[in-house]
Amino acid sequence: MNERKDFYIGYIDDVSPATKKFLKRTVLILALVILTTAAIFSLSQQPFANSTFELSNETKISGVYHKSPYPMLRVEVEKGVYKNILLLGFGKFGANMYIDALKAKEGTLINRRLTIEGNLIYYNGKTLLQITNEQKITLEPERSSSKTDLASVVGDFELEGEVVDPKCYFGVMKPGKGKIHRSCASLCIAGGMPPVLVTTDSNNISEYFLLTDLKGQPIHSDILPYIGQPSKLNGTVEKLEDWYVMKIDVSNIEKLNKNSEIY
Amino acid sequence: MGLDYQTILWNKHKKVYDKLILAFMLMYLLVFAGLTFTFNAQTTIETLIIRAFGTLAVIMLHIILAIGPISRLNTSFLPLLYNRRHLGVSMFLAAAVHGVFSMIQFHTLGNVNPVYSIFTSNLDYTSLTNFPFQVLGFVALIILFFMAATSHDFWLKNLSPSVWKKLHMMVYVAYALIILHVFLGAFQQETSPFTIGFLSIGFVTIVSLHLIAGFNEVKTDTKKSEKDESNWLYVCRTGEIEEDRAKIFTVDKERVAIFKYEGKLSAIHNVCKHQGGPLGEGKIVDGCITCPWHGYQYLPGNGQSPPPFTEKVATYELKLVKDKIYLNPEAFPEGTEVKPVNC
Amino acid sequence: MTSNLRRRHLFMWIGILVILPVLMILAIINIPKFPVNDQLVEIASSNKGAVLKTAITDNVELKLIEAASKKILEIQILQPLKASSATVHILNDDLSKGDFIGQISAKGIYKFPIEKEINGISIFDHIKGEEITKIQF
Repeated sequence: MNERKDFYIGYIDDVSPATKKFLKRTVLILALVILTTAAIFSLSQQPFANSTFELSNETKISGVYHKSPYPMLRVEVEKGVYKNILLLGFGKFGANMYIDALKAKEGTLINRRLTIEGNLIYYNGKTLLQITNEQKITLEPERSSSKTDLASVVGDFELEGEVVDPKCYFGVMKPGKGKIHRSCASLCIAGGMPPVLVTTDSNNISEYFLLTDLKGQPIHSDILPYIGQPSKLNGTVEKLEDWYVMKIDVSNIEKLNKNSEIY
Repeated sequence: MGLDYQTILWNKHKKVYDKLILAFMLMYLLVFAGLTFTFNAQTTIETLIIRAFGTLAVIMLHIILAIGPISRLNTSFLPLLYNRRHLGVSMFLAAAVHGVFSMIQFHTLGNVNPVYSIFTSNLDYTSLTNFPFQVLGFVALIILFFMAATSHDFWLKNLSPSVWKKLHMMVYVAYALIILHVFLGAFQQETSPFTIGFLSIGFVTIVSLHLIAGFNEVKTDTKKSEKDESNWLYVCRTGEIEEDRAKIFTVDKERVAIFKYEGKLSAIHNVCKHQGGPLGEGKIVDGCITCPWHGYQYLPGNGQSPPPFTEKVATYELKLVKDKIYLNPEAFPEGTEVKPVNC
Repeated sequence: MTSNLRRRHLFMWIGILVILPVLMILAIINIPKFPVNDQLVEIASSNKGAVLKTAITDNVELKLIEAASKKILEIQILQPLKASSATVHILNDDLSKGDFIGQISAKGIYKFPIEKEINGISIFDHIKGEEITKIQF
């Protein structure tokens, strides 16, 4: 056995030619293994959504504030045509703390025109705005005459999909859904972001539903056990211009992957 | 082995080894990032970092775990074992980048402390697929941290080799945790037959190598030997041992190495004091028995490391009947001088 | 290694061999499948009528359809637009943004009645104040 005659000692510089040759071959094989692994892991990633989070770019938007029941800004994109921008806070928090701070000074903000400078988040037709500071909200002097009740009932539905936090889903994280992201979504929703149900149809077209309780009030901590996994929800769907709102009883949510219980 | 500890006793091979580790890690990260930007450009930098470093740590762990048994099966791989701890520390660093970025991304800026959030943001501990897989990764990272932090002969000496070895065998627990972390985490969402297949093949390879190497050792350990009238054990004939090499002989499941050198025979306990390397698979170099794992040296006549080193192993008495070697199974205290038998 | 240590190694790997595959296989079997939901789809009653003109880009498909002597502009968003808002306008001859047609948002099919002659559209982002794309028939 030649190999046995080659006795490698790490602190002695000289290495026999046979050992050298063997090591060179091993290094080459390892290089191939590394390259193959990198390719396998990189190329088997699922496609990322073309969602956007403008972290380093602030945009000023003006519109009429309403809470239905989550803070939104109704922005006129063309005469008589509106887009409702969902307002969110910094990090894993909702926008309420900034809104409340301004409310304490100015009284109710409902139906008043605000200009907010923040970071836009948008994907697939939905737009959200991250507010990082209450100083960036300005109250416009004019009173708005817009309608107060924008919602119209669509009907009762039983929908299957995933409950996500809209901030991550619509742009901050990729992917901002599913099991890996579940903890983050829980923190976001616990921190005051609205829970959103995402459904997908067989043409891979998604619909988004802001979830509220049966009285139309915000839901946060009650829905945490159902986030990030396939669930079935029952409730009344209302259309709020370009958003759907679904009024649900959290205790009726059904988890669809219950076969994974281990004890 | 020195009395004074330096951060690292550099030598030529260590430098080459470390350069290769660094080069391979950079190559992996660049290829991963390059392919992602080319074919899946909508990624975020955070996701890219988390995935590139996480997968890098996984592949490095497989290589680390393969080195041990593969060196038992083919001694040509021993040079990879020599500085394996450098690979281990590098793997920990890659895993730490993955862990820290994941924690920042998913668990900071919320209404609770990020570490608390790892354990509480998903409470489905009773479910398999909904299990909070982050906890598995977190515990594995803590194990790897303690291993990396004690990856130095200073700790080996101060914790005692047996405690140190126990701590470092926790890498198997870390491996199991990491595999589950991936199967209950990434694979639940980023399901791809290629990645699942890859880790499954990796699992089969690693387990097979360890079990083959392990059962080979069991065979050696259970060999029975014949006794003579004074309870000495027959080892072999002198011609069966190569010059400057040893024959490993099992006494009550413990191994003794019988070395032949300069027309003499000496027997010492087979286990190196450093990390338990098999001295009998070593060689006599410059008159010293040299351990094949990390080059620790012992004098064949008394089982002591040459000064200034202080390691000592047990020695045994031999006798020769014609060309048949017999061994007294009663070991002498470590470092006892025994006169070599001439052959 | 001492025989004790060797035994411990072996037992650990036998343990891993027994336990881990079971959990790995259970994990793979139980990967959650996200359901498909077709209740809210307005079936794209595509083209009852003659298609007069079409145009297609990477993420938008345009059709001008004539049915019952009325012209309909059908816009299909094939991939989500990367825009904070999207309104559709007639594209003037000088390629400037003309009359407003309607608002579009998510991936899907949109239909707008058209009265004028139309040679193309401009999709405009009001929030950013910039044109997203122009498409000509």
